Amino acid sequence: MSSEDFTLQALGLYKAFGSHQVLRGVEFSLRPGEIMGIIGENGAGKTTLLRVLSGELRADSGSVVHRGRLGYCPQRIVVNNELTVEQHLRYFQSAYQLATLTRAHELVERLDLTRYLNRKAGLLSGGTKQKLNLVLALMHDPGVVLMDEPYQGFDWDNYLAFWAITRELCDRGQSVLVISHIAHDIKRFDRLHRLRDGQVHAEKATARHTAGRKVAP
Amino acid sequence: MRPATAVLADLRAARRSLDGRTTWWAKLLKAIGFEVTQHARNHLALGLVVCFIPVWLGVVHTVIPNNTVEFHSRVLGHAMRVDANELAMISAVINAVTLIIGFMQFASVRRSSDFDQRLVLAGHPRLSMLAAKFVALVLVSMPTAVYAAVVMDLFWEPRQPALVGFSLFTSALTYGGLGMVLGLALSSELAGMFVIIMVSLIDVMVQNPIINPSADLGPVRLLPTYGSMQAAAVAGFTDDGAIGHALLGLLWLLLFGLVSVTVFHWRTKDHAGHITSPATQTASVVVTSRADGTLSIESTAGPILLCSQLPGCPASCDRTVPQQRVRKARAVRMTAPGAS
Repeated sequence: MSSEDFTLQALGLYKAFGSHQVLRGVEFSLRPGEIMGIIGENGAGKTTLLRVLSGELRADSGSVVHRGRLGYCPQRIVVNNELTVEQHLRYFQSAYQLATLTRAHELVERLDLTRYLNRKAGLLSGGTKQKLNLVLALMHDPGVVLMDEPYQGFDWDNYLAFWAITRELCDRGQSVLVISHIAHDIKRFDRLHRLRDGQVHAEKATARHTAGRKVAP
Repeated sequence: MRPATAVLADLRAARRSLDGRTTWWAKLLKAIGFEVTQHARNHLALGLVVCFIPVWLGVVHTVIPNNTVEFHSRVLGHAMRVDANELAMISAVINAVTLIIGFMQFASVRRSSDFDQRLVLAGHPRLSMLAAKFVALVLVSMPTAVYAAVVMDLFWEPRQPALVGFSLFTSALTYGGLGMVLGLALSSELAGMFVIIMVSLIDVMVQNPIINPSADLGPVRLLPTYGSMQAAAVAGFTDDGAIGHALLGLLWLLLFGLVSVTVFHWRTKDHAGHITSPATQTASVVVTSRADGTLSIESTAGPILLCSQLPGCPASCDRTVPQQRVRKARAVRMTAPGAS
Protein backbone atom coordinates (compact mmCIF):
# COMPACT_ATOMS: atom_id res chain seq x y z
CA MET A 1 0.00 0.00 0.00
CA SER A 2 1.37 3.40 -0.87
CA SER A 3 1.40 6.09 1.74
CA GLU A 4 -1.31 7.85 -0.25
CA ASP A 5 -3.65 4.86 -0.28
CA PHE A 6 -5.92 5.83 2.55
CA THR A 7 -9.20 7.63 3.01
CA LEU A 8 -8.61 8.56 6.63
CA GLN A 9 -5.42 8.72 8.61
CA ALA A 10 -4.89 9.52 12.28
CA LEU A 11 -1.43 10.76 13.14
CA GLY A 12 -0.23 10.91 16.76
CA LEU A 13 -3.52 11.94 18.34
CA TYR A 14 -3.33 13.02 21.96
CA LYS A 15 -6.28 14.15 24.03
CA ALA A 16 -6.62 14.75 27.75
CA PHE A 17 -9.46 15.95 29.94
CA GLY A 18 -7.75 17.75 32.78
CA SER A 19 -5.14 15.38 34.18
CA HIS A 20 -6.82 12.34 32.61
CA GLN A 21 -4.95 11.43 29.44
CA VAL A 22 -7.42 9.62 27.17
CA LEU A 23 -5.58 9.34 23.86
CA ARG A 24 -1.82 8.80 23.86
CA GLY A 25 -0.67 8.91 20.29
CA VAL A 26 -3.35 7.14 18.28
CA GLU A 27 -2.18 6.24 14.79
CA PHE A 28 -3.93 4.27 12.10
CA SER A 29 -5.09 4.47 8.51
CA LEU A 30 -8.38 3.58 6.94
CA ARG A 31 -8.18 2.38 3.38
CA PRO A 32 -10.60 2.64 0.49
CA GLY A 33 -13.30 -0.01 0.57
CA GLU A 34 -12.47 -1.21 4.05
CA ILE A 35 -14.54 -1.87 7.14
CA MET A 36 -12.37 -1.34 10.17
CA GLY A 37 -13.44 -1.97 13.73
CA ILE A 38 -12.02 -0.39 16.85
CA ILE A 39 -13.07 -2.02 20.09
CA GLY A 40 -12.27 -1.15 23.64
CA GLU A 41 -13.54 -1.39 27.15
CA ASN A 42 -15.86 1.16 28.68
CA GLY A 43 -13.93 4.37 29.29
CA ALA A 44 -11.10 3.41 26.93
CA GLY A 45 -11.67 6.61 24.94
CA LYS A 46 -13.51 5.22 21.90
CA THR A 47 -16.10 7.97 21.75
CA THR A 48 -13.45 10.62 22.38
CA LEU A 49 -11.44 9.21 19.49
CA LEU A 50 -14.42 9.30 17.15
CA ARG A 51 -15.33 12.84 18.18
CA VAL A 52 -11.78 13.91 17.40
CA LEU A 53 -11.85 12.12 14.06
CA SER A 54 -15.15 13.76 13.14
CA GLY A 55 -13.95 17.25 14.03
CA GLU A 56 -16.42 17.68 16.88
CA LEU A 57 -13.59 17.75 19.43
CA ARG A 58 -10.13 19.22 19.13
CA ALA A 59 -7.13 16.99 19.78
CA ASP A 60 -4.40 18.38 22.01
CA SER A 61 -1.92 17.37 19.34
CA GLY A 62 -1.78 15.24 16.24
CA SER A 63 -3.79 15.48 13.08
CA VAL A 64 -6.46 13.78 11.04
CA VAL A 65 -6.24 13.60 7.28
CA HIS A 66 -9.10 12.34 5.21
CA ARG A 67 -10.42 12.35 1.70
CA GLY A 68 -13.99 12.62 0.63
CA ARG A 69 -16.91 13.77 2.69
CA LEU A 70 -17.37 12.48 6.20
CA GLY A 71 -20.45 10.76 7.51
CA TYR A 72 -20.62 10.72 11.28
CA CYS A 73 -23.02 8.67 13.37
CA PRO A 74 -22.44 9.62 17.01
CA GLN A 75 -23.11 7.24 19.88
CA ARG A 76 -25.44 9.72 21.53
CA ILE A 77 -28.46 10.10 19.29
CA VAL A 78 -28.38 13.64 17.96
CA VAL A 79 -31.77 14.51 16.50
CA ASN A 80 -34.27 17.29 17.13
CA ASN A 81 -37.22 15.96 19.09
CA GLU A 82 -39.55 18.66 17.78
CA LEU A 83 -39.01 17.89 14.09
CA THR A 84 -40.43 14.98 12.13
CA VAL A 85 -38.27 12.40 10.39
CA GLU A 86 -39.08 13.99 7.03
CA GLN A 87 -38.11 17.43 8.35
CA HIS A 88 -34.79 16.00 9.52
CA LEU A 89 -34.10 14.74 6.04
CA ARG A 90 -34.97 18.08 4.47
CA TYR A 91 -32.85 20.01 6.98
CA PHE A 92 -29.83 17.82 6.30
CA GLN A 93 -30.51 18.01 2.58
CA SER A 94 -29.79 21.72 2.99
CA ALA A 95 -26.66 21.09 5.03
CA TYR A 96 -25.22 18.49 2.66
CA GLN A 97 -26.34 20.48 -0.39
CA LEU A 98 -28.17 17.56 -1.96
CA ALA A 99 -30.30 18.09 -5.03
CA THR A 100 -32.63 15.22 -4.12
CA LEU A 101 -33.47 12.95 -1.20
CA THR A 102 -33.36 9.80 -3.29
CA ARG A 103 -30.56 8.16 -1.31
CA ALA A 104 -32.09 9.24 2.00
CA HIS A 105 -35.45 7.73 1.13
CA GLU A 106 -33.75 4.54 -0.03
CA LEU A 107 -32.06 4.25 3.36
CA VAL A 108 -35.31 5.08 5.14
CA GLU A 109 -37.05 2.28 3.30
CA ARG A 110 -34.32 -0.26 3.95
CA LEU A 111 -34.27 0.55 7.65
CA ASP A 112 -38.05 0.36 7.82
CA LEU A 113 -38.50 4.00 8.74
CA THR A 114 -41.00 4.93 6.05
CA ARG A 115 -44.04 4.72 8.27
CA TYR A 116 -42.46 7.17 10.72
CA LEU A 117 -41.69 9.89 8.17
CA ASN A 118 -44.32 12.24 9.54
CA ARG A 119 -43.75 11.45 13.19
CA LYS A 120 -41.84 13.75 15.52
CA ALA A 121 -38.45 12.36 16.53
CA GLY A 122 -39.37 12.86 20.17
CA LEU A 123 -42.12 10.27 19.81
CA LEU A 124 -39.89 7.58 18.29
CA SER A 125 -38.53 4.61 20.23
CA GLY A 126 -34.81 4.46 21.00
CA GLY A 127 -34.08 1.99 18.22
CA THR A 128 -36.06 3.97 15.65
CA LYS A 129 -34.31 7.17 16.67
CA GLN A 130 -31.02 5.39 16.17
CA LYS A 131 -32.06 4.47 12.63
CA LEU A 132 -32.71 8.15 11.94
CA ASN A 133 -29.34 8.95 13.51
CA LEU A 134 -27.77 6.51 11.05
CA VAL A 135 -29.67 7.78 8.01
CA LEU A 136 -28.49 11.33 8.73
CA ALA A 137 -24.90 10.05 8.66
CA LEU A 138 -25.28 8.17 5.38
CA MET A 139 -27.78 10.13 3.29
CA HIS A 140 -25.10 12.14 1.43
CA ASP A 141 -23.22 8.99 0.39
CA PRO A 142 -20.02 9.93 2.24
CA GLY A 143 -16.59 8.67 1.27
CA VAL A 144 -15.67 7.94 4.87
CA VAL A 145 -18.18 6.88 7.49
CA LEU A 146 -17.45 7.05 11.21
CA MET A 147 -19.91 5.18 13.42
CA ASP A 148 -20.00 4.87 17.17
CA GLU A 149 -22.04 1.87 18.35
CA PRO A 150 -24.24 2.27 15.26
CA TYR A 151 -26.52 -0.69 15.78
CA GLN A 152 -27.46 -0.15 19.41
CA GLY A 153 -31.17 -0.79 19.85
CA PHE A 154 -31.58 -2.48 16.46
CA ASP A 155 -33.59 -5.67 16.13
CA TRP A 156 -32.09 -8.57 14.18
CA ASP A 157 -33.56 -7.59 10.80
CA ASN A 158 -32.31 -4.05 11.08
CA TYR A 159 -28.96 -5.28 12.30
CA LEU A 160 -28.66 -7.33 9.12
CA ALA A 161 -29.90 -4.40 7.02
CA PHE A 162 -27.23 -2.22 8.63
CA TRP A 163 -24.46 -4.64 7.67
CA ALA A 164 -25.83 -5.03 4.15
CA ILE A 165 -25.75 -1.24 3.68
CA THR A 166 -22.26 -1.06 5.16
CA ARG A 167 -20.99 -3.83 2.87
CA GLU A 168 -22.43 -2.06 -0.18
CA LEU A 169 -20.66 1.15 0.82
CA CYS A 170 -17.37 -0.69 0.97
CA ASP A 171 -17.96 -2.47 -2.30
CA ARG A 172 -18.26 0.97 -3.88
CA GLY A 173 -14.88 1.97 -2.43
CA GLN A 174 -16.21 3.90 0.56
CA SER A 175 -14.60 3.29 3.93
CA VAL A 176 -16.29 2.57 7.23
CA LEU A 177 -14.92 2.81 10.75
CA VAL A 178 -17.08 1.20 13.42
CA ILE A 179 -16.36 1.71 17.09
CA SER A 180 -17.87 -0.65 19.60
CA HIS A 181 -17.35 -1.84 23.14
CA ILE A 182 -17.78 -5.51 22.25
CA ALA A 183 -16.21 -7.52 19.48
CA HIS A 184 -19.06 -9.72 18.38
CA ASP A 185 -19.52 -10.60 14.73
CA ILE A 186 -15.86 -9.81 14.03
CA LYS A 187 -15.99 -11.69 10.76
CA ARG A 188 -17.74 -8.69 9.27
CA PHE A 189 -14.66 -6.48 9.73
CA ASP A 190 -11.71 -6.33 7.39
CA ARG A 191 -9.48 -5.29 10.23
CA LEU A 192 -9.99 -5.08 13.94
CA HIS A 193 -8.06 -2.86 16.32
CA ARG A 194 -8.28 -2.42 20.04
CA LEU A 195 -8.06 0.92 21.84
CA ARG A 196 -6.02 0.24 24.95
CA ASP A 197 -4.01 2.61 27.15
CA GLY A 198 -4.83 5.45 24.79
CA GLN A 199 -3.38 3.75 21.74
CA VAL A 200 -4.73 1.63 18.91
CA HIS A 201 -3.31 -1.89 18.65
CA ALA A 202 -4.00 -4.37 15.86
CA GLU A 203 -5.99 -7.42 16.89
CA LYS A 204 -5.56 -10.77 15.23
CA ALA A 205 -6.65 -10.96 11.60
CA THR A 206 -10.39 -11.23 11.10
CA ALA A 207 -12.17 -13.84 9.04
CA ARG A 208 -12.74 -11.42 6.17
CA HIS A 209 -9.09 -10.50 6.18
CA THR A 210 -7.82 -14.08 6.20
CA ALA A 211 -10.31 -14.95 3.48
CA GLY A 212 -7.98 -13.12 1.13
CA ARG A 213 -9.57 -9.74 0.78
CA LYS A 214 -7.36 -7.19 -0.90
CA VAL A 215 -6.89 -5.20 2.28
CA ALA A 216 -3.34 -5.03 3.52
CA PRO A 217 -2.46 -5.41 7.21
CA MET B 1 -60.68 36.66 -0.26
CA ARG B 2 -58.91 33.35 -0.79
CA PRO B 3 -59.86 30.47 1.46
CA ALA B 4 -57.34 29.35 4.10
CA THR B 5 -56.90 25.97 2.43
CA ALA B 6 -55.71 27.64 -0.78
CA VAL B 7 -53.23 29.76 1.17
CA LEU B 8 -51.96 26.66 2.95
CA ALA B 9 -51.61 24.85 -0.36
CA ASP B 10 -49.59 27.78 -1.72
CA LEU B 11 -47.37 27.73 1.34
CA ARG B 12 -46.77 24.00 0.95
CA ALA B 13 -45.94 24.48 -2.73
CA ALA B 14 -43.51 27.27 -1.82
CA ARG B 15 -41.93 25.03 0.80
CA ARG B 16 -41.54 22.17 -1.69
CA SER B 17 -39.96 24.53 -4.20
CA LEU B 18 -37.18 25.20 -1.68
CA ASP B 19 -36.23 21.52 -1.51
CA GLY B 20 -33.23 20.83 -3.63
CA ARG B 21 -32.25 24.49 -3.79
CA THR B 22 -28.91 25.03 -2.13
CA THR B 23 -28.56 28.80 -2.17
CA TRP B 24 -27.89 30.61 1.09
CA TRP B 25 -31.34 32.22 0.97
CA ALA B 26 -33.08 28.91 0.36
CA LYS B 27 -31.26 27.47 3.35
CA LEU B 28 -32.24 30.47 5.44
CA LEU B 29 -35.92 30.18 4.51
CA LYS B 30 -35.95 26.47 5.28
CA ALA B 31 -34.18 27.04 8.58
CA ILE B 32 -36.70 29.75 9.53
CA GLY B 33 -39.50 27.29 8.82
CA PHE B 34 -37.92 24.67 11.06
CA GLU B 35 -37.27 27.17 13.85
CA VAL B 36 -40.86 28.40 13.80
CA THR B 37 -42.04 24.78 13.79
CA GLN B 38 -40.02 24.12 16.94
CA HIS B 39 -41.58 27.12 18.68
CA ALA B 40 -45.05 26.10 17.55
CA ARG B 41 -44.54 22.66 19.09
CA ASN B 42 -43.54 24.10 22.47
CA HIS B 43 -47.00 23.54 23.90
CA LEU B 44 -46.07 24.63 27.40
CA ALA B 45 -44.95 28.05 26.21
CA LEU B 46 -47.99 28.45 23.98
CA GLY B 47 -50.23 27.46 26.87
CA LEU B 48 -48.56 30.09 29.03
CA VAL B 49 -49.12 32.74 26.37
CA VAL B 50 -52.80 31.88 26.03
CA CYS B 51 -53.61 31.32 29.71
CA PHE B 52 -50.99 32.90 31.93
CA ILE B 53 -51.16 36.43 30.48
CA PRO B 54 -54.92 36.93 31.07
CA VAL B 55 -54.82 35.18 34.43
CA TRP B 56 -51.84 37.23 35.61
CA LEU B 57 -53.40 40.50 34.42
CA GLY B 58 -56.68 39.50 36.04
CA VAL B 59 -54.94 38.89 39.35
CA VAL B 60 -53.11 42.21 39.21
CA HIS B 61 -56.28 44.04 38.24
CA THR B 62 -58.12 42.49 41.17
CA VAL B 63 -55.43 42.75 43.86
CA ILE B 64 -53.61 46.05 43.28
CA PRO B 65 -55.52 49.08 44.68
CA ASN B 66 -56.34 52.14 42.61
CA ASN B 67 -54.18 54.52 44.62
CA THR B 68 -52.26 57.26 42.87
CA VAL B 69 -48.50 56.81 42.63
CA GLU B 70 -45.68 58.81 41.11
CA PHE B 71 -43.82 57.30 38.17
CA HIS B 72 -40.61 59.00 37.07
CA SER B 73 -40.77 59.37 33.32
CA ARG B 74 -37.50 60.04 31.52
CA VAL B 75 -39.49 60.63 28.37
CA LEU B 76 -41.50 63.50 29.83
CA GLY B 77 -38.73 64.67 32.13
CA HIS B 78 -40.91 64.72 35.22
CA ALA B 79 -42.93 62.43 37.48
CA MET B 80 -46.40 61.35 36.36
CA ARG B 81 -49.17 60.80 38.87
CA VAL B 82 -50.87 57.63 37.68
CA ASP B 83 -53.23 54.90 38.83
CA ALA B 84 -51.17 52.21 40.64
CA ASN B 85 -53.44 49.46 39.37
CA GLU B 86 -52.96 50.43 35.74
CA LEU B 87 -49.23 50.98 36.15
CA ALA B 88 -48.93 47.58 37.81
CA MET B 89 -50.69 46.03 34.84
CA ILE B 90 -48.13 47.51 32.45
CA SER B 91 -45.36 46.15 34.62
CA ALA B 92 -47.09 42.77 34.90
CA VAL B 93 -47.71 42.35 31.18
CA ILE B 94 -44.08 43.22 30.34
CA ASN B 95 -42.99 40.74 32.99
CA ALA B 96 -45.21 37.99 31.59
CA VAL B 97 -44.28 38.53 27.94
CA THR B 98 -40.55 38.75 28.60
CA LEU B 99 -40.50 35.63 30.77
CA ILE B 100 -42.45 33.55 28.26
CA ILE B 101 -40.49 34.65 25.19
CA GLY B 102 -37.19 34.35 27.05
CA PHE B 103 -38.15 30.85 28.11
CA MET B 104 -39.28 29.88 24.60
CA GLN B 105 -36.10 31.04 22.94
CA PHE B 106 -33.91 29.55 25.64
CA ALA B 107 -35.66 26.17 25.43
CA SER B 108 -35.50 26.09 21.65
CA VAL B 109 -31.80 26.98 21.45
CA ARG B 110 -30.80 24.76 24.37
CA ARG B 111 -32.65 21.68 23.14
CA SER B 112 -31.34 21.92 19.59
CA SER B 113 -27.79 22.74 20.65
CA ASP B 114 -26.20 19.38 19.69
CA PHE B 115 -28.42 19.09 16.65
CA ASP B 116 -27.30 22.51 15.43
CA GLN B 117 -23.67 21.51 15.89
CA ARG B 118 -24.29 18.40 13.83
CA LEU B 119 -25.92 20.46 11.09
CA VAL B 120 -23.01 22.90 10.99
CA LEU B 121 -20.46 20.08 10.83
CA ALA B 122 -22.53 18.65 7.98
CA GLY B 123 -22.09 21.92 6.12
CA HIS B 124 -24.98 24.18 7.10
CA PRO B 125 -23.89 27.84 7.20
CA ARG B 126 -23.74 29.12 10.77
CA LEU B 127 -24.92 32.60 9.91
CA SER B 128 -28.03 31.32 8.20
CA MET B 129 -28.90 29.18 11.22
CA LEU B 130 -28.45 32.08 13.61
CA ALA B 131 -30.36 34.46 11.36
CA ALA B 132 -33.19 31.91 11.24
CA LYS B 133 -33.31 31.84 15.04
CA PHE B 134 -33.58 35.63 15.22
CA VAL B 135 -36.24 35.80 12.51
CA ALA B 136 -38.21 33.09 14.31
CA LEU B 137 -37.88 35.09 17.52
CA VAL B 138 -39.37 38.13 15.80
CA LEU B 139 -42.18 36.04 14.29
CA VAL B 140 -43.07 34.56 17.68
CA SER B 141 -42.72 37.81 19.63
CA MET B 142 -44.98 39.81 17.35
CA PRO B 143 -48.27 37.91 17.85
CA THR B 144 -47.47 37.40 21.53
CA ALA B 145 -47.07 41.15 22.07
CA VAL B 146 -50.23 41.89 20.09
CA TYR B 147 -52.18 39.28 22.06
CA ALA B 148 -50.90 40.63 25.40
CA ALA B 149 -51.78 44.20 24.43
CA VAL B 150 -55.28 43.14 23.38
CA VAL B 151 -55.82 41.24 26.64
CA MET B 152 -54.69 44.25 28.63
CA ASP B 153 -57.19 46.38 26.74
CA LEU B 154 -59.92 44.21 28.26
CA PHE B 155 -59.04 45.56 31.70
CA TRP B 156 -58.31 49.21 30.92
CA GLU B 157 -57.79 51.40 27.89
CA PRO B 158 -54.28 52.79 27.43
CA ARG B 159 -54.09 56.10 25.55
CA GLN B 160 -51.84 54.62 22.85
CA PRO B 161 -52.42 50.85 22.67
CA ALA B 162 -50.24 50.46 19.56
CA LEU B 163 -47.22 51.95 21.32
CA VAL B 164 -47.89 49.77 24.36
CA GLY B 165 -47.92 46.74 22.04
CA PHE B 166 -44.68 47.88 20.38
CA SER B 167 -43.04 48.28 23.78
CA LEU B 168 -44.10 44.75 24.66
CA PHE B 169 -42.65 43.55 21.36
CA THR B 170 -39.23 45.12 21.95
CA SER B 171 -39.13 43.88 25.54
CA ALA B 172 -39.91 40.37 24.25
CA LEU B 173 -37.06 40.64 21.74
CA THR B 174 -34.72 41.71 24.54
CA TYR B 175 -35.49 38.65 26.65
CA GLY B 176 -35.53 36.42 23.55
CA GLY B 177 -31.96 37.56 22.94
CA LEU B 178 -31.09 36.82 26.57
CA GLY B 179 -32.68 33.38 26.26
CA MET B 180 -30.64 32.72 23.17
CA VAL B 181 -27.35 33.60 24.86
CA LEU B 182 -28.22 31.45 27.87
CA GLY B 183 -29.30 28.57 25.63
CA LEU B 184 -25.92 28.63 23.95
CA ALA B 185 -23.79 29.23 27.00
CA LEU B 186 -25.38 27.15 29.76
CA SER B 187 -25.31 23.39 29.85
CA SER B 188 -28.26 22.98 32.21
CA GLU B 189 -31.85 23.76 31.32
CA LEU B 190 -32.70 24.44 34.95
CA ALA B 191 -29.84 26.93 35.31
CA GLY B 192 -31.06 28.88 32.30
CA MET B 193 -34.60 29.06 33.60
CA PHE B 194 -33.40 30.33 36.97
CA VAL B 195 -31.19 32.99 35.41
CA ILE B 196 -34.06 34.29 33.24
CA ILE B 197 -36.40 34.43 36.23
CA MET B 198 -33.85 36.14 38.46
CA VAL B 199 -32.91 38.73 35.84
CA SER B 200 -36.59 39.42 35.29
CA LEU B 201 -37.20 39.78 39.03
CA ILE B 202 -34.47 42.38 39.40
CA ASP B 203 -35.53 44.11 36.20
CA VAL B 204 -39.17 44.50 37.18
CA MET B 205 -38.81 45.09 40.91
CA VAL B 206 -36.19 47.81 40.69
CA GLN B 207 -38.37 49.76 38.24
CA ASN B 208 -41.49 49.44 40.35
CA PRO B 209 -42.20 52.91 41.85
CA ILE B 210 -43.94 51.38 44.86
CA ILE B 211 -40.93 49.25 45.78
CA ASN B 212 -38.33 51.74 44.63
CA PRO B 213 -39.36 55.41 44.93
CA SER B 214 -36.04 56.43 43.31
CA ALA B 215 -36.75 54.46 40.17
CA ASP B 216 -35.23 57.10 37.91
CA LEU B 217 -31.64 56.79 39.15
CA GLY B 218 -28.86 56.09 36.67
CA PRO B 219 -28.34 52.33 37.13
CA VAL B 220 -32.05 51.71 36.56
CA ARG B 221 -31.62 52.94 32.99
CA LEU B 222 -29.33 50.01 32.32
CA LEU B 223 -32.03 47.45 33.03
CA PRO B 224 -33.14 45.40 30.01
CA THR B 225 -36.76 46.53 29.97
CA TYR B 226 -36.16 50.10 31.15
CA GLY B 227 -36.85 51.57 27.71
CA SER B 228 -39.93 49.43 27.15
CA MET B 229 -41.36 50.25 30.58
CA GLN B 230 -40.80 53.97 30.08
CA ALA B 231 -42.37 53.90 26.62
CA ALA B 232 -45.32 51.76 27.71
CA ALA B 233 -46.03 53.99 30.72
CA VAL B 234 -46.01 57.13 28.59
CA ALA B 235 -48.17 55.37 25.99
CA GLY B 236 -50.57 54.21 28.65
CA PHE B 237 -51.21 57.55 30.31
CA THR B 238 -50.36 60.29 27.79
CA ASP B 239 -50.47 61.08 24.10
CA ASP B 240 -46.73 61.80 23.92
CA GLY B 241 -44.43 59.83 21.69
CA ALA B 242 -41.87 57.50 23.23
CA ILE B 243 -40.79 55.30 20.35
CA GLY B 244 -37.12 56.07 20.99
CA HIS B 245 -37.28 54.54 24.45
CA ALA B 246 -39.14 51.50 23.11
CA LEU B 247 -36.32 50.98 20.63
CA LEU B 248 -33.78 50.74 23.46
CA GLY B 249 -34.77 47.07 23.68
CA LEU B 250 -33.33 46.56 20.22
CA LEU B 251 -29.92 47.70 21.48
CA TRP B 252 -30.08 44.91 24.03
CA LEU B 253 -31.07 42.52 21.28
CA LEU B 254 -28.08 43.66 19.23
CA LEU B 255 -25.76 43.10 22.19
CA PHE B 256 -27.19 39.63 22.86
CA GLY B 257 -27.00 38.90 19.14
CA LEU B 258 -23.29 39.67 19.03
CA VAL B 259 -22.64 37.45 22.04
CA SER B 260 -24.74 34.70 20.44
CA VAL B 261 -22.77 34.84 17.19
CA THR B 262 -19.50 34.51 19.11
CA VAL B 263 -20.66 31.66 21.34
CA PHE B 264 -22.39 29.82 18.50
CA HIS B 265 -19.27 30.05 16.35
CA TRP B 266 -17.14 28.69 19.18
CA ARG B 267 -19.57 25.90 20.03
CA THR B 268 -19.97 24.67 16.47
CA LYS B 269 -16.37 25.06 15.39
CA ASP B 270 -14.66 22.21 13.59
CA HIS B 271 -12.19 21.82 16.45
CA ALA B 272 -10.10 19.15 14.85
CA GLY B 273 -8.38 21.57 12.49
CA HIS B 274 -7.94 18.75 10.04
CA ILE B 275 -5.16 18.83 7.55
CA THR B 276 -6.46 18.04 4.14
CA SER B 277 -4.46 16.19 1.57
CA PRO B 278 -3.52 18.49 -1.25
CA ALA B 279 -6.42 18.51 -3.61
CA THR B 280 -5.79 17.64 -7.21
CA GLN B 281 -6.62 20.65 -9.32
CA THR B 282 -8.04 20.32 -12.74
CA ALA B 283 -5.69 22.21 -15.00
CA SER B 284 -6.42 23.59 -18.41
CA VAL B 285 -3.32 23.98 -20.55
CA VAL B 286 -3.76 25.76 -23.86
CA VAL B 287 -1.01 25.29 -26.43
CA THR B 288 -1.22 27.68 -29.38
CA SER B 289 0.99 27.43 -32.43
CA ARG B 290 1.99 30.86 -33.68
CA ALA B 291 2.69 31.90 -37.25
CA ASP B 292 6.41 32.25 -36.54
CA GLY B 293 6.63 28.60 -35.44
CA THR B 294 6.82 29.29 -31.69
CA LEU B 295 4.40 27.91 -29.17
CA SER B 296 2.32 29.90 -26.72
CA ILE B 297 1.45 27.92 -23.58
CA GLU B 298 -1.08 29.05 -21.00
CA SER B 299 -1.95 27.18 -17.82
CA THR B 300 -4.85 27.81 -15.48
CA ALA B 301 -3.14 25.94 -12.64
CA GLY B 302 0.19 27.66 -12.12
CA PRO B 303 3.60 26.69 -13.50
CA ILE B 304 3.87 23.63 -15.70
CA LEU B 305 6.80 21.49 -16.76
CA LEU B 306 7.41 21.38 -20.49
CA CYS B 307 9.77 18.73 -21.74
CA SER B 308 10.44 18.15 -25.43
CA GLN B 309 12.74 15.16 -24.85
CA LEU B 310 10.82 13.01 -22.44
CA PRO B 311 12.66 9.72 -23.00
CA GLY B 312 15.98 11.38 -22.31
CA CYS B 313 14.78 13.66 -19.60
CA PRO B 314 17.26 13.76 -16.70
CA ALA B 315 15.92 12.79 -13.28
CA SER B 316 16.55 16.24 -11.92
CA CYS B 317 14.69 18.16 -14.59
CA ASP B 318 11.60 18.57 -12.45
CA ARG B 319 13.40 20.27 -9.59
CA THR B 320 12.08 23.66 -10.61
CA VAL B 321 8.54 22.51 -10.14
CA PRO B 322 7.22 24.22 -7.05
CA GLN B 323 6.28 21.95 -4.18
CA GLN B 324 2.61 21.69 -3.45
CA ARG B 325 1.81 23.19 -0.14
CA VAL B 326 -0.27 21.29 2.37
CA ARG B 327 -2.79 23.77 3.57
CA LYS B 328 -4.95 23.75 6.62
CA ALA B 329 -8.55 23.52 5.67
CA ARG B 330 -11.80 21.89 6.62
CA ALA B 331 -11.31 18.36 5.50
CA VAL B 332 -14.98 17.71 4.96
CA ARG B 333 -15.07 20.14 2.13
CA MET B 334 -12.41 18.36 0.06
CA THR B 335 -12.76 15.48 -2.29
CA ALA B 336 -9.75 13.69 -3.67
CA PRO B 337 -9.68 11.36 -6.65
CA GLY B 338 -10.77 7.87 -5.90
CA ALA B 339 -13.07 8.92 -3.12
CA SER B 340 -16.71 9.47 -3.70
